[in-house]
Amino acid sequence: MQSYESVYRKHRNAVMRFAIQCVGSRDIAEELTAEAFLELHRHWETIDTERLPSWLFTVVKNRAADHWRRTELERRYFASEPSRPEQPHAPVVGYGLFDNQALKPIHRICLTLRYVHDMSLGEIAGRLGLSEVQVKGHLQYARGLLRKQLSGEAGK
Amino acid sequence: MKNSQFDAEEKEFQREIASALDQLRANVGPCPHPDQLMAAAAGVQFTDADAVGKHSAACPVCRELIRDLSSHEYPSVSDEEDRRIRARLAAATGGRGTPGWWTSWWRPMPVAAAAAVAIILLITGALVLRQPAQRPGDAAKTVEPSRVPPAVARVAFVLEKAAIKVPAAAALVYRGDAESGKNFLNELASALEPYRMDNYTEAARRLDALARKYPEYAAPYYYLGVSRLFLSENEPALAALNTARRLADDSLRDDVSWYLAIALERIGRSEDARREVEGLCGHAGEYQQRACASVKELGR
Repeated sequence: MQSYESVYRKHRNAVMRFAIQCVGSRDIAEELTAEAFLELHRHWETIDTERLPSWLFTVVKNRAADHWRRTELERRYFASEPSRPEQPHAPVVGYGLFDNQALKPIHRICLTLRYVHDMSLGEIAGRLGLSEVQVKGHLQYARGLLRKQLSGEAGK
Repeated sequence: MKNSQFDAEEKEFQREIASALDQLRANVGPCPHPDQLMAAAAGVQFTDADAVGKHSAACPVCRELIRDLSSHEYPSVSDEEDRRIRARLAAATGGRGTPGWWTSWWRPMPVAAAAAVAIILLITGALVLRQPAQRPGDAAKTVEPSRVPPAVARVAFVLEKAAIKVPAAAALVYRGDAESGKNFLNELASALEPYRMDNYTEAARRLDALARKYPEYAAPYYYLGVSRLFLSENEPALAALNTARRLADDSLRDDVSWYLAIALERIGRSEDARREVEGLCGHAGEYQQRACASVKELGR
Protein backbone atom coordinates (compact mmCIF):
# COMPACT_ATOMS: atom_id res chain seq x y z
CA MET A 1 0.00 0.00 0.00
CA GLN A 2 1.40 3.38 -0.98
CA SER A 3 1.71 6.22 1.52
CA TYR A 4 0.25 9.64 0.85
CA GLU A 5 3.76 11.06 0.66
CA SER A 6 4.86 8.57 -1.99
CA VAL A 7 1.68 9.17 -3.99
CA TYR A 8 2.28 12.91 -3.81
CA ARG A 9 5.87 12.54 -4.97
CA LYS A 10 4.89 10.14 -7.72
CA HIS A 11 2.12 12.23 -9.26
CA ARG A 12 2.86 15.89 -8.43
CA ASN A 13 4.67 16.62 -11.70
CA ALA A 14 2.00 15.00 -13.88
CA VAL A 15 -0.75 16.85 -12.01
CA MET A 16 1.10 20.15 -12.27
CA ARG A 17 1.63 19.71 -16.01
CA PHE A 18 -2.01 18.83 -16.57
CA ALA A 19 -3.04 21.85 -14.51
CA ILE A 20 -0.87 24.09 -16.69
CA GLN A 21 -2.65 22.68 -19.75
CA CYS A 22 -5.98 23.53 -18.13
CA VAL A 23 -5.30 27.10 -17.01
CA GLY A 24 -2.09 28.28 -18.68
CA SER A 25 -0.65 30.16 -15.73
CA ARG A 26 1.89 28.23 -13.70
CA ASP A 27 0.91 30.10 -10.53
CA ILE A 28 -2.71 29.07 -10.84
CA ALA A 29 -1.67 25.56 -11.85
CA GLU A 30 0.25 25.36 -8.59
CA GLU A 31 -2.91 26.28 -6.67
CA LEU A 32 -4.89 23.67 -8.55
CA THR A 33 -2.24 21.05 -7.85
CA ALA A 34 -2.41 21.85 -4.15
CA GLU A 35 -6.19 21.66 -4.22
CA ALA A 36 -6.14 18.31 -5.99
CA PHE A 37 -3.82 16.83 -3.39
CA LEU A 38 -5.91 18.39 -0.64
CA GLU A 39 -8.94 16.58 -2.05
CA LEU A 40 -6.89 13.41 -2.09
CA HIS A 41 -6.02 14.05 1.54
CA ARG A 42 -9.72 14.41 2.37
CA HIS A 43 -10.61 11.18 0.60
CA TRP A 44 -7.51 9.26 1.52
CA GLU A 45 -9.37 6.71 3.61
CA THR A 46 -11.63 5.71 0.75
CA ILE A 47 -9.69 6.41 -2.43
CA ASP A 48 -8.47 3.51 -4.52
CA THR A 49 -4.93 4.46 -5.45
CA GLU A 50 -5.31 2.46 -8.65
CA ARG A 51 -7.53 5.31 -9.85
CA LEU A 52 -4.63 7.74 -9.63
CA PRO A 53 -3.59 9.98 -11.26
CA SER A 54 -6.79 10.19 -13.34
CA TRP A 55 -8.79 10.95 -10.17
CA LEU A 56 -6.46 13.88 -9.49
CA PHE A 57 -6.79 15.05 -13.10
CA THR A 58 -10.57 15.12 -12.72
CA VAL A 59 -10.26 17.29 -9.62
CA VAL A 60 -7.92 19.63 -11.50
CA LYS A 61 -10.33 19.79 -14.43
CA ASN A 62 -13.24 20.71 -12.17
CA ARG A 63 -11.22 23.35 -10.35
CA ALA A 64 -10.02 24.71 -13.69
CA ALA A 65 -13.66 25.08 -14.77
CA ASP A 66 -14.27 27.08 -11.56
CA HIS A 67 -11.25 29.20 -12.37
CA TRP A 68 -12.50 29.97 -15.87
CA ARG A 69 -15.94 30.82 -14.51
CA ARG A 70 -14.39 33.25 -12.02
CA THR A 71 -12.19 34.75 -14.72
CA GLU A 72 -15.18 35.23 -16.96
CA LEU A 73 -17.22 36.83 -14.17
CA GLU A 74 -14.34 39.10 -13.22
CA ARG A 75 -13.74 40.08 -16.83
CA ARG A 76 -17.43 40.76 -17.33
CA TYR A 77 -17.57 43.01 -14.28
CA PHE A 78 -14.51 44.94 -15.34
CA ALA A 79 -15.44 45.24 -18.97
CA SER A 80 -19.20 45.56 -18.46
CA GLU A 81 -19.84 43.93 -21.79
CA PRO A 82 -21.20 40.58 -23.00
CA SER A 83 -19.16 37.40 -22.79
CA ARG A 84 -16.34 37.07 -25.29
CA PRO A 85 -13.16 35.01 -25.17
CA GLU A 86 -10.37 37.13 -23.73
CA GLN A 87 -7.74 38.55 -26.08
CA PRO A 88 -9.03 36.80 -29.17
CA HIS A 89 -8.01 39.29 -31.81
CA ALA A 90 -5.07 37.47 -33.27
CA PRO A 91 -4.89 37.13 -37.02
CA VAL A 92 -5.71 33.74 -38.39
CA VAL A 93 -3.17 32.26 -40.76
CA GLY A 94 -3.41 29.17 -42.84
CA TYR A 95 -1.11 26.23 -43.40
CA GLY A 96 2.50 26.79 -44.23
CA LEU A 97 3.43 29.99 -42.41
CA PHE A 98 5.60 28.23 -39.85
CA ASP A 99 5.82 25.05 -41.87
CA ASN A 100 9.50 24.21 -41.95
CA GLN A 101 10.89 20.74 -41.28
CA ALA A 102 13.83 22.17 -39.37
CA LEU A 103 11.55 23.92 -36.88
CA LYS A 104 10.93 22.05 -33.66
CA PRO A 105 7.64 22.32 -31.76
CA ILE A 106 9.21 24.77 -29.32
CA HIS A 107 10.12 27.09 -32.20
CA ARG A 108 6.61 26.96 -33.64
CA ILE A 109 5.12 27.58 -30.21
CA CYS A 110 7.32 30.65 -29.67
CA LEU A 111 6.61 31.98 -33.16
CA THR A 112 2.86 31.51 -32.82
CA LEU A 113 2.62 33.00 -29.35
CA ARG A 114 4.80 35.94 -30.35
CA TYR A 115 3.62 36.83 -33.83
CA VAL A 116 0.08 35.41 -33.95
CA HIS A 117 -0.98 36.01 -30.35
CA ASP A 118 1.19 39.08 -29.76
CA MET A 119 2.54 37.86 -26.43
CA SER A 120 5.57 39.48 -24.80
CA LEU A 121 8.79 37.54 -24.24
CA GLY A 122 8.02 37.49 -20.52
CA GLU A 123 4.55 36.08 -21.06
CA ILE A 124 5.86 33.35 -23.35
CA ALA A 125 8.66 32.52 -20.94
CA GLY A 126 6.23 32.29 -18.03
CA ARG A 127 3.82 30.21 -20.08
CA LEU A 128 6.45 27.67 -21.10
CA GLY A 129 8.61 27.62 -17.99
CA LEU A 130 11.59 29.03 -19.88
CA SER A 131 13.75 32.11 -19.40
CA GLU A 132 13.23 35.15 -21.60
CA VAL A 133 16.73 34.60 -22.98
CA GLN A 134 15.75 31.09 -24.08
CA VAL A 135 12.58 32.36 -25.73
CA LYS A 136 14.57 35.06 -27.51
CA GLY A 137 17.04 32.41 -28.69
CA HIS A 138 14.29 30.15 -30.04
CA LEU A 139 12.71 33.08 -31.86
CA GLN A 140 15.99 34.21 -33.39
CA TYR A 141 16.76 30.70 -34.61
CA ALA A 142 13.25 30.21 -35.98
CA ARG A 143 13.21 33.58 -37.72
CA GLY A 144 16.54 32.79 -39.33
CA LEU A 145 15.22 29.51 -40.73
CA LEU A 146 12.03 31.07 -42.01
CA ARG A 147 13.93 33.95 -43.59
CA LYS A 148 16.05 31.49 -45.52
CA GLN A 149 12.90 29.67 -46.58
CA LEU A 150 11.17 32.86 -47.68
CA SER A 151 14.21 34.15 -49.57
CA GLY A 152 14.64 30.73 -51.22
CA GLU A 153 11.02 30.72 -52.33
CA ALA A 154 11.33 34.27 -53.57
CA GLY A 155 14.40 33.30 -55.65
CA LYS A 156 12.62 30.44 -57.40
CA MET B 1 -3.40 44.86 -29.87
CA LYS B 2 -1.11 44.64 -26.88
CA ASN B 3 2.18 46.41 -26.54
CA SER B 4 4.54 43.49 -27.02
CA GLN B 5 7.56 45.71 -27.66
CA PHE B 6 8.90 44.24 -30.86
CA ASP B 7 12.46 45.27 -31.52
CA ALA B 8 13.69 46.56 -34.88
CA GLU B 9 14.76 43.13 -36.09
CA GLU B 10 11.41 41.63 -35.19
CA LYS B 11 9.56 44.42 -36.93
CA GLU B 12 11.61 43.71 -40.00
CA PHE B 13 10.71 40.03 -39.75
CA GLN B 14 7.05 40.94 -39.41
CA ARG B 15 7.31 42.97 -42.60
CA GLU B 16 8.99 40.03 -44.33
CA ILE B 17 6.24 37.60 -43.42
CA ALA B 18 3.43 40.07 -43.89
CA SER B 19 2.68 39.07 -47.48
CA ALA B 20 2.89 35.38 -46.58
CA LEU B 21 0.59 36.07 -43.67
CA ASP B 22 -1.88 37.82 -45.92
CA GLN B 23 -1.76 35.03 -48.48
CA LEU B 24 -2.19 32.31 -45.90
CA ARG B 25 -4.78 34.03 -43.75
CA ALA B 26 -7.92 31.99 -43.64
CA ASN B 27 -11.27 33.35 -42.69
CA VAL B 28 -12.12 31.21 -39.68
CA GLY B 29 -12.60 34.02 -37.17
CA PRO B 30 -10.29 35.36 -34.49
CA CYS B 31 -8.07 32.91 -32.62
CA PRO B 32 -8.96 32.45 -28.93
CA HIS B 33 -6.28 32.94 -26.31
CA PRO B 34 -3.87 29.97 -26.09
CA ASP B 35 -4.93 29.30 -22.50
CA GLN B 36 -8.51 28.88 -23.65
CA LEU B 37 -7.44 26.68 -26.54
CA MET B 38 -5.57 24.38 -24.20
CA ALA B 39 -8.31 24.34 -21.58
CA ALA B 40 -10.93 23.38 -24.16
CA ALA B 41 -8.62 20.72 -25.56
CA ALA B 42 -8.13 19.30 -22.05
CA GLY B 43 -11.91 19.01 -21.66
CA VAL B 44 -12.40 21.84 -19.17
CA GLN B 45 -15.96 23.11 -19.25
CA PHE B 46 -16.25 26.89 -19.39
CA THR B 47 -18.54 29.41 -21.02
CA ASP B 48 -16.78 29.60 -24.37
CA ALA B 49 -15.45 26.04 -24.43
CA ASP B 50 -17.70 24.92 -27.28
CA ALA B 51 -16.94 27.96 -29.42
CA VAL B 52 -13.22 27.59 -28.74
CA GLY B 53 -13.38 23.89 -29.64
CA LYS B 54 -15.16 24.65 -32.90
CA HIS B 55 -12.61 27.28 -33.79
CA SER B 56 -9.62 25.06 -33.12
CA ALA B 57 -11.20 22.28 -35.20
CA ALA B 58 -11.27 24.67 -38.15
CA CYS B 59 -8.04 26.60 -37.58
CA PRO B 60 -4.80 24.84 -38.57
CA VAL B 61 -2.61 27.25 -36.62
CA CYS B 62 -4.54 26.65 -33.39
CA ARG B 63 -4.57 22.89 -33.95
CA GLU B 64 -0.82 22.92 -34.40
CA LEU B 65 -0.35 25.11 -31.33
CA ILE B 66 -2.46 22.73 -29.23
CA ARG B 67 -0.48 19.75 -30.49
CA ASP B 68 2.87 21.44 -29.83
CA LEU B 69 1.89 22.75 -26.40
CA SER B 70 0.49 19.34 -25.43
CA SER B 71 3.86 17.74 -26.12
CA HIS B 72 5.85 20.55 -24.48
CA GLU B 73 7.96 19.36 -21.57
CA TYR B 74 7.08 21.78 -18.81
CA PRO B 75 9.64 22.00 -16.00
CA SER B 76 8.98 19.74 -13.02
CA VAL B 77 7.62 21.11 -9.77
CA SER B 78 10.43 23.20 -8.33
CA ASP B 79 11.58 23.00 -4.73
CA GLU B 80 9.97 26.37 -4.08
CA GLU B 81 6.67 25.29 -5.64
CA ASP B 82 6.81 22.04 -3.72
CA ARG B 83 7.34 23.96 -0.48
CA ARG B 84 4.36 26.20 -1.19
CA ILE B 85 2.10 23.27 -2.11
CA ARG B 86 3.04 21.47 1.09
CA ALA B 87 2.48 24.65 3.09
CA ARG B 88 -0.99 24.97 1.58
CA LEU B 89 -1.77 21.36 2.40
CA ALA B 90 -0.56 21.83 5.94
CA ALA B 91 -2.52 25.05 6.34
CA ALA B 92 -5.70 23.57 4.91
CA THR B 93 -5.49 20.53 7.13
CA GLY B 94 -5.02 22.70 10.21
CA GLY B 95 -1.32 21.91 10.49
CA ARG B 96 -1.98 18.23 10.97
CA GLY B 97 0.29 17.42 8.07
CA THR B 98 -0.41 14.75 5.55
CA PRO B 99 -1.60 11.22 6.17
CA GLY B 100 1.61 9.41 6.90
CA TRP B 101 2.83 5.89 6.58
CA TRP B 102 0.63 4.79 9.47
CA THR B 103 -2.59 5.56 7.62
CA SER B 104 -1.92 3.20 4.79
CA TRP B 105 -0.23 0.74 7.08
CA TRP B 106 -3.26 -0.24 9.12
CA ARG B 107 -5.91 0.04 6.44
CA PRO B 108 -5.48 -3.22 4.54
CA MET B 109 -4.37 -5.19 7.57
CA PRO B 110 -6.04 -8.58 7.88
CA VAL B 111 -7.71 -9.42 11.18
CA ALA B 112 -5.08 -11.99 12.16
CA ALA B 113 -2.24 -9.60 11.49
CA ALA B 114 -4.07 -6.89 13.40
CA ALA B 115 -4.45 -9.21 16.36
CA ALA B 116 -0.74 -10.04 16.24
CA VAL B 117 0.16 -6.40 16.16
CA ALA B 118 -2.19 -5.67 19.04
CA ILE B 119 -0.47 -8.36 21.11
CA ILE B 120 2.95 -6.95 20.26
CA LEU B 121 1.76 -3.46 21.25
CA LEU B 122 0.38 -4.79 24.53
CA ILE B 123 3.65 -6.54 25.35
CA THR B 124 5.65 -3.48 24.34
CA GLY B 125 3.35 -1.31 26.43
CA ALA B 126 3.81 -3.52 29.43
CA LEU B 127 7.60 -3.37 29.04
CA VAL B 128 7.50 0.39 28.68
CA LEU B 129 5.48 0.73 31.86
CA ARG B 130 8.19 -1.13 33.70
CA GLN B 131 10.85 1.34 32.54
CA PRO B 132 11.94 4.17 34.84
CA ALA B 133 10.09 7.43 34.39
CA GLN B 134 11.40 9.64 31.60
CA ARG B 135 13.50 12.64 32.40
CA PRO B 136 11.70 15.87 31.39
CA GLY B 137 14.16 16.51 28.59
CA ASP B 138 13.42 13.18 26.94
CA ALA B 139 9.79 13.95 26.26
CA ALA B 140 10.49 16.03 23.19
CA LYS B 141 12.48 13.20 21.65
CA THR B 142 9.48 10.89 21.49
CA VAL B 143 5.88 11.16 20.29
CA GLU B 144 4.90 11.37 16.62
CA PRO B 145 8.30 11.49 15.00
CA SER B 146 7.17 11.56 11.41
CA ARG B 147 3.57 12.72 11.15
CA VAL B 148 4.46 16.17 9.87
CA PRO B 149 7.25 16.25 7.27
CA PRO B 150 9.77 19.02 7.95
CA ALA B 151 8.90 20.69 4.67
CA VAL B 152 5.35 21.46 5.81
CA ALA B 153 6.20 22.60 9.31
CA ARG B 154 6.11 26.33 8.53
CA VAL B 155 2.55 27.40 7.82
CA ALA B 156 2.20 30.71 9.62
CA PHE B 157 2.18 33.92 7.59
CA VAL B 158 3.09 32.30 4.28
CA LEU B 159 2.77 35.06 1.67
CA GLU B 160 0.67 33.98 -1.28
CA LYS B 161 -0.63 36.14 -4.05
CA ALA B 162 -4.06 37.55 -3.25
CA ALA B 163 -6.73 36.65 -5.78
CA ILE B 164 -8.17 39.60 -7.62
CA LYS B 165 -11.67 40.17 -6.35
CA VAL B 166 -14.45 42.23 -7.80
CA PRO B 167 -14.76 45.31 -5.60
CA ALA B 168 -18.16 46.25 -4.21
CA ALA B 169 -18.16 49.29 -6.52
CA ALA B 170 -18.41 46.88 -9.43
CA ALA B 171 -21.92 45.94 -8.37
CA LEU B 172 -22.98 49.57 -8.68
CA VAL B 173 -21.37 49.77 -12.10
CA TYR B 174 -22.97 46.55 -13.19
CA ARG B 175 -26.35 48.02 -12.33
CA GLY B 176 -25.37 51.16 -14.22
CA ASP B 177 -25.67 53.35 -11.10
CA ALA B 178 -22.28 55.03 -11.01
CA GLU B 179 -20.30 56.46 -13.89
CA SER B 180 -17.36 57.46 -11.70
CA GLY B 181 -17.27 53.91 -10.34
CA LYS B 182 -17.00 52.63 -13.88
CA ASN B 183 -14.00 54.85 -14.52
CA PHE B 184 -12.46 53.65 -11.31
CA LEU B 185 -12.93 50.00 -12.25
CA ASN B 186 -11.40 50.51 -15.66
CA GLU B 187 -8.38 52.15 -14.10
CA LEU B 188 -8.18 49.49 -11.40
CA ALA B 189 -8.20 46.76 -14.05
CA SER B 190 -5.35 48.51 -15.83
CA ALA B 191 -3.39 48.97 -12.60
CA LEU B 192 -3.83 45.28 -11.76
CA GLU B 193 -2.40 44.08 -15.08
CA PRO B 194 1.23 44.08 -13.83
CA TYR B 195 -0.01 42.50 -10.60
CA ARG B 196 -1.44 39.63 -12.63
CA MET B 197 1.94 39.25 -14.31
CA ASP B 198 3.79 39.24 -10.97
CA ASN B 199 5.42 42.56 -11.81
CA TYR B 200 4.97 43.98 -8.33
CA THR B 201 7.22 47.01 -8.82
CA GLU B 202 5.07 48.33 -11.65
CA ALA B 203 1.89 47.21 -9.86
CA ALA B 204 2.89 49.19 -6.76
CA ARG B 205 3.66 52.26 -8.86
CA ARG B 206 0.29 52.17 -10.62
CA LEU B 207 -1.71 51.27 -7.54
CA ASP B 208 -0.07 54.03 -5.52
CA ALA B 209 -1.15 56.55 -8.15
CA LEU B 210 -4.64 55.05 -8.25
CA ALA B 211 -4.95 55.17 -4.46
CA ARG B 212 -4.10 58.87 -4.50
CA LYS B 213 -6.65 59.50 -7.23
CA TYR B 214 -9.43 57.47 -5.59
CA PRO B 215 -8.74 57.72 -1.84
CA GLU B 216 -12.26 56.56 -1.01
CA TYR B 217 -11.79 53.01 -2.38
CA ALA B 218 -10.12 50.20 -0.41
CA ALA B 219 -9.07 47.99 -3.32
CA PRO B 220 -6.07 50.07 -4.55
CA TYR B 221 -4.67 50.26 -1.02
CA TYR B 222 -5.23 46.55 -0.51
CA TYR B 223 -3.46 45.39 -3.67
CA LEU B 224 -0.79 48.05 -3.10
CA GLY B 225 -0.16 46.56 0.33
CA VAL B 226 0.06 43.02 -1.05
CA SER B 227 2.39 44.15 -3.85
CA ARG B 228 4.64 45.89 -1.35
CA LEU B 229 4.78 42.72 0.75
CA PHE B 230 6.05 40.86 -2.30
CA LEU B 231 8.69 43.58 -2.66
CA SER B 232 9.58 43.16 1.04
CA GLU B 233 8.66 46.81 1.62
CA ASN B 234 6.96 45.92 4.85
CA GLU B 235 6.43 49.30 6.53
CA PRO B 236 4.82 50.89 3.44
CA ALA B 237 2.80 47.67 3.03
CA LEU B 238 1.52 48.04 6.57
CA ALA B 239 0.55 51.67 5.98
CA ALA B 240 -1.37 50.79 2.80
CA LEU B 241 -3.13 47.87 4.45
CA ASN B 242 -4.11 49.96 7.46
CA THR B 243 -5.77 52.43 5.10
CA ALA B 244 -7.42 49.54 3.26
CA ARG B 245 -8.79 48.28 6.55
CA ARG B 246 -10.29 51.68 7.31
CA LEU B 247 -12.03 51.75 3.93
CA ALA B 248 -12.86 48.09 3.37
CA ASP B 249 -16.34 46.69 3.49
CA ASP B 250 -17.15 43.14 4.62
CA SER B 251 -16.21 41.62 1.27
CA LEU B 252 -12.55 42.59 1.69
CA ARG B 253 -12.17 42.72 5.46
CA ASP B 254 -10.72 39.24 6.00
CA ASP B 255 -8.33 39.61 3.08
CA VAL B 256 -6.96 42.85 4.48
CA SER B 257 -6.68 41.33 7.93
CA TRP B 258 -4.66 38.34 6.68
CA TYR B 259 -2.11 40.46 4.84
CA LEU B 260 -1.98 42.91 7.74
CA ALA B 261 -1.00 39.99 9.95
CA ILE B 262 1.83 39.11 7.57
CA ALA B 263 3.05 42.72 7.51
CA LEU B 264 2.89 42.98 11.29
CA GLU B 265 4.75 39.75 11.78
CA ARG B 266 7.45 40.85 9.36
CA ILE B 267 8.15 44.08 11.19
CA GLY B 268 8.33 42.28 14.51
CA ARG B 269 4.91 43.16 15.93
CA SER B 270 4.16 39.52 16.60
CA GLU B 271 1.52 40.11 19.25
CA ASP B 272 -0.48 42.34 16.92
CA ALA B 273 -0.06 39.75 14.17
CA ARG B 274 -1.33 37.08 16.52
CA ARG B 275 -4.40 39.14 17.34
CA GLU B 276 -5.17 39.45 13.63
CA VAL B 277 -4.93 35.71 12.95
CA GLU B 278 -6.86 34.89 16.12
CA GLY B 279 -9.65 37.11 14.83
CA LEU B 280 -9.63 35.31 11.48
CA CYS B 281 -9.45 31.92 13.14
CA GLY B 282 -12.49 32.78 15.23
CA HIS B 283 -15.00 32.89 12.41
CA ALA B 284 -15.74 30.93 9.25
CA GLY B 285 -14.13 32.33 6.14
CA GLU B 286 -11.56 31.93 3.42
CA TYR B 287 -8.65 32.49 5.80
CA GLN B 288 -9.91 30.55 8.80
CA GLN B 289 -7.90 27.38 8.24
CA ARG B 290 -4.69 29.23 7.47
CA ALA B 291 -5.22 31.56 10.41
CA CYS B 292 -5.93 28.71 12.86
CA ALA B 293 -2.87 26.85 11.61
CA SER B 294 -0.85 30.02 12.17
CA VAL B 295 -2.22 30.44 15.67
CA LYS B 296 -1.36 26.84 16.41
CA GLU B 297 2.14 27.20 15.04
CA LEU B 298 2.74 30.40 16.99
CA GLY B 299 1.65 28.60 20.11
CA ARG B 300 4.37 25.97 19.77
